[in-house]
Amino acid sequence: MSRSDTNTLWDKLSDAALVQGTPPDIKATDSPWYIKLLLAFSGWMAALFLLGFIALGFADILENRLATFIAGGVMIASAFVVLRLPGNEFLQHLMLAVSLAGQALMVFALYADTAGDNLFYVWGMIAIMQLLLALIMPDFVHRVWSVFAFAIALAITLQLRHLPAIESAIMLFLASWLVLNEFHYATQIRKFQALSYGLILALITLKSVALLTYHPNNWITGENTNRSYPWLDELLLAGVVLYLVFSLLRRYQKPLFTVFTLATLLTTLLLCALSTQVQGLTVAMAIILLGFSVSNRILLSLGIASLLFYSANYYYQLHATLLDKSQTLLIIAIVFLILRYLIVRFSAHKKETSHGS
Amino acid sequence: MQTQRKQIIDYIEHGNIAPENIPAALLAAKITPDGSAWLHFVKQFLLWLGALALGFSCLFFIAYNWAELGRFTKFALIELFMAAVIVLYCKQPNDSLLGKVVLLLASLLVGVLLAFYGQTYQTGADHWLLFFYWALFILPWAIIARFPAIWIFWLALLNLSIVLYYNSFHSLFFIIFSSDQGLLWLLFIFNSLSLIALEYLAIPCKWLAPRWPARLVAVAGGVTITALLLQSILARHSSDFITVIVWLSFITALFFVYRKLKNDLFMLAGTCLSGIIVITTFTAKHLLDDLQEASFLLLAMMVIALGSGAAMWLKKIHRESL
Repeated sequence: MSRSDTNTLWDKLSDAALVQGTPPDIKATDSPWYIKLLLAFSGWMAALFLLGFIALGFADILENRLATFIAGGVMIASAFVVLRLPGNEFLQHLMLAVSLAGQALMVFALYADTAGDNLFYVWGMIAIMQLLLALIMPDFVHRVWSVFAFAIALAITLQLRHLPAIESAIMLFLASWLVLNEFHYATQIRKFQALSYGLILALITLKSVALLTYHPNNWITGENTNRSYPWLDELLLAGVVLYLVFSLLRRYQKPLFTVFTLATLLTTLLLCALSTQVQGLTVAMAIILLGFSVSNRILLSLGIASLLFYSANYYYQLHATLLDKSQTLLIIAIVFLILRYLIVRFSAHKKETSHGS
Repeated sequence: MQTQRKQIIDYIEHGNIAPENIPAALLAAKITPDGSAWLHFVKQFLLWLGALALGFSCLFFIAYNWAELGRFTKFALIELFMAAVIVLYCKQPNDSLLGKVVLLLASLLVGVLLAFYGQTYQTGADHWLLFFYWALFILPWAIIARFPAIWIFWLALLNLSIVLYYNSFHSLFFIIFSSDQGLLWLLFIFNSLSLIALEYLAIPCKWLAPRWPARLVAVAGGVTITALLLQSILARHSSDFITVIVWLSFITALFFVYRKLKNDLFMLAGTCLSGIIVITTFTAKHLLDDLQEASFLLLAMMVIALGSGAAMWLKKIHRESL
């Protein structure tokens, strides 16, 4: 965006008496997502080397679980203190790597020699630790990572209690709430953004591995357990998508008992029903909807990419024959194209009526 | 829309917009879409999903092992469907989105027809030929569609046919690329040439103005040449020197084009990432032979320095472009 574009936006808002004071320095604006991704990637690489340094240089500490846990805690605490200060880029980046290595040490200490029922408590503690870090760490990349790790740990915890069917709905609900309310809390916008990105990335990842009939818990227990109650998963997701659509309708002050609102909610339900066959469709459509509702291109791209992946994966799902799949897709195509036709006709008719009057 | 969004977030955080004015400001800046924007979005979304579902429905229908339907019935079904789609395209006004999506659907159906032809008559042709002819037959439609999605689909088909060709023959024209890195070299050369073509075509063709097609192709080229160099560093291939020279030329060219001629921060960020990965792998390969703790610490510091340096440089360029 050029300086003139910025001025145009400011002037536009100023003309509508929606802004006050002087415009902030545009040079202090946020950096694009790929720079953050580069920082995250090099942070993870540096954390791995730091762990190698600790493993070789402080091998005695790693033999004592309590000492390892405390060392990890101290590293995270120092990262927290330094990240709060307006420091230079190198120090900020170093602290991201130090915190990641500290988290790995704490998880190692919690996890060492743990088995059986204790796994549930260990993963529960990891989830709580990551959630706390996601809430308090004053760094965007750190927040995205921590909330992603929280979501994965929560999914494993739920799986250990045989409740994997509720994980996607919980994540989509939290992400939807954060995106829909990101502008309601003026000082928390970037925090809400980081949390929603982390949750949506985890949701896409978990849904993808679940479609490949694999769950992160399989790494932990070594059992090749298929997902239980996938229909419950889709049912709960449908509930969250209805909440999302209803919230958007309320934003535009559409009353509940009108033809438009009821038709929109019914169509949403129909699409969610189709998603019981083409699994992942609901999640992808919800992410696309969220992205468009707040003009967030990153969410829109994530939604489109996940939609393509879930659709491609449908070919390989073994629960139905190719003929069944062909029929399902044909129904989806007919429903979508008829809906589009009706919308085009309805909007053209409305335009004509308004021109006529 | 992303940049306007960032700007308005800055205004809100700096207290330039009172809390009670935020919804109105978001609407005025079109961050919150209005009724007509929603209508446009829903129409596009339904069109895309409907068309793709229709195309794949046809593909699955033909792929199903039908006992009741004869081969001529199946051919007739595909060809009739294709003809109907082309008629629909001809009835659309020039440059309409519906027309472009319909042409993409027709391009998918060509593949269905070719696959069914190969399956029915057991032509004995190699798999790569299916994707190659598919790309060849849809080329005229790709040219008239003036639609980036069809071109990316076309390039994906050619990438796939290169992979299948190489898996069959393990060389190209029996002379060049006969090493075990040959496939990566072929993909790198093809995607780099595609990138050059896309950038040249983007100058006269306004419909190629969106950056995502060039970025996608650049990622394919960058990943393959970086993978080639990593293989050389880790396994010490005979082609080490050539790989280093080509990689250096590639990232220098990217830097020159996207810094001096055409400002594209995404491409520069990708160049930096490739550089960080290569330098770190090279240093790690030589430092970690004897597993000294100091080597790990040095590598950690080096990665942080490289990452921070790259981020600072990219942010500086980003600020300059504002």
